[in-house]
Amino acid sequence: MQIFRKLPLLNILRKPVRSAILLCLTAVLSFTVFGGALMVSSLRSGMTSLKERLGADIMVIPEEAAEKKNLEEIVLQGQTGYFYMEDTVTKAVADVEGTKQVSDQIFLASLAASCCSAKVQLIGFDPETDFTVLPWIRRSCSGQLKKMEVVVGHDIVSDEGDTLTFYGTDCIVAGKLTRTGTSYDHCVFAGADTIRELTMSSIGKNLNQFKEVDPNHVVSCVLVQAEEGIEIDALAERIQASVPGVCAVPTSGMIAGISGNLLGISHIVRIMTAVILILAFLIMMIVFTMLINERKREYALLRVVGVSRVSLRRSVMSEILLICLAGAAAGICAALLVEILFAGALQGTLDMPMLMPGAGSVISYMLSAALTVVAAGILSSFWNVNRVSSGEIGLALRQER
Amino acid sequence: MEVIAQQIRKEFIRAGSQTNIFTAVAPCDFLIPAGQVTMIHGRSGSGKSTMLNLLAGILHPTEGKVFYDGADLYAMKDEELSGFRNRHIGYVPQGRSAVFSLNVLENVMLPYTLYEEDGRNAARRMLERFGIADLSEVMPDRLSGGELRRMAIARALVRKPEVIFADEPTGDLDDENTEAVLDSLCQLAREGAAVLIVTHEEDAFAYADRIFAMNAGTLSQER
Repeated sequence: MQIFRKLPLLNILRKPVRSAILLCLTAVLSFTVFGGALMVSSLRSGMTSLKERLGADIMVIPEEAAEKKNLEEIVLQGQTGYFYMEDTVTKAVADVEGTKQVSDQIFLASLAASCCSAKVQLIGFDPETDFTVLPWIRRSCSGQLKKMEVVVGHDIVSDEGDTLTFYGTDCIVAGKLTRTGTSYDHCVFAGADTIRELTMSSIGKNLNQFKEVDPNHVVSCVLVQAEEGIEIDALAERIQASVPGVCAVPTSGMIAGISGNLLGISHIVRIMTAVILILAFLIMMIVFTMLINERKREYALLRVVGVSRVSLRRSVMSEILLICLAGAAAGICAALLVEILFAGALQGTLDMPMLMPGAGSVISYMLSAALTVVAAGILSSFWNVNRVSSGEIGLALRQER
Repeated sequence: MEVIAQQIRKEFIRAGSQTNIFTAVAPCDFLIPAGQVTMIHGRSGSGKSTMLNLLAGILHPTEGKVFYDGADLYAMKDEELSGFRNRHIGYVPQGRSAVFSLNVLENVMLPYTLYEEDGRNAARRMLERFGIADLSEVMPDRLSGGELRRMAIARALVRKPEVIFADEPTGDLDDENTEAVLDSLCQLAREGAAVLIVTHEEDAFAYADRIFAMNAGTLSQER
């Protein structure tokens, strides 16, 4: 390859300090753009995932559980807990006008003690009527769940075929769910009969706070799907009025707080990204102006030996493009690494569900970030490159001999 | 190749003023004949480097034309003029001049490689001629002023140009290297090149076929 064509690369490789500074600058820009977009998108995906997992329009729980905010703690914040009501509630709720479908669930929390493999939330669903958990479970685990078989959330350290013990009773792991970015990643799912068996064991070992409960005749919550066109809040009020001792909570209300937080965080991230973008653009403009001015005589020399205006412009732009691309790649990799390594910590800090978007979205954010950095590099240097390539060679050569 | 300047003039507007026009080169006709060494001397700021740049096609004149064997230099489009400079003109600028990310050999090869030619052997011969062959892999920022100057001269002469412009070519050189450089320029003139040297060193006049003096932008022939 001729030397002039290699010049952009040689300028970068043979001036490592200068190149490293420029690379860092462009990397910070791409880190911010890509990292910000990825974070907002992860929060959005987490939110969508949570909505999908909740699945129902209304959750009916015992009145006392609602007072203690137990449901939100379990569903949204990943805390363990359980509460019960008579299983007759399920039929009573189904009879309320406007309900299309109902399905009940039974909860149990295991303990961080010798009787249990781990402290987790156990959720039992009715395979006959379920319309929330089962479609999701079927994506990760084929076939029917047999008695004493469980499916574990993504973050539970256990794989298919393993044995987990809850209250001294062994359960076989039949599958592991894909990541949702929600508290469900720390839950264990099973058929209601399995959870009832485990509840029995917990009562037998005197480790259940509801000692008088008959597990075969209780449920923890009833999930309700409303008929098309029905006002959810009105239906919730009707359920509450018709079925004594329960609280009907519209799921949209449960996640309204998270939605609000998400909106706030999205705004902050967007504003920060815009500020950093403007600052980085200005810094890039100053740095590229200095870089080009410093080498004005060198460019004039290239023109003297026969480099045309267009070739010189192309060469300088190629160097800037290479730096921007390398910086963009470094920034994107760093942001991706931070996202992968610290997603859990971030999720915990923000107290919000986070789920990495799909590969297609991630790639599109990568390309957008790289494009932003390249565009910023080209725009911030275009005027100077044009000025230096179009100027009088004789005058440039006389400067700073 | 013969260079003819017709009524060439260069004016500059002093910075910060639109009315204060400074005449760097007063209107004049000038010839650089092929096969001869022409020298221009004068005080600093007299306009001799401006004159050299006007003739070398790297500074547009305010008025007048420059012809190379009848071809109007400033009528050429940039692409054509750049190619012309590469093939026909050797230029030694004043002061430090190098592409600092290329080593000495690559700097000297540069005019060759721009147009897909391999000038490695020609560049090595030039480096040997000017006594810097052992520095071929060294980066320019490691060179002394004299070594840099010899590298610049080697680069200007590597393509055996038909017209050579040298602005204070012996400025940083010791006696031995001054002699080597001026001998090389004279030899190229004897081979048919048109050589124009701008200098303020009277010792160099012995190598000139024609000598001009530049005073406040006005050119006058002394020999």
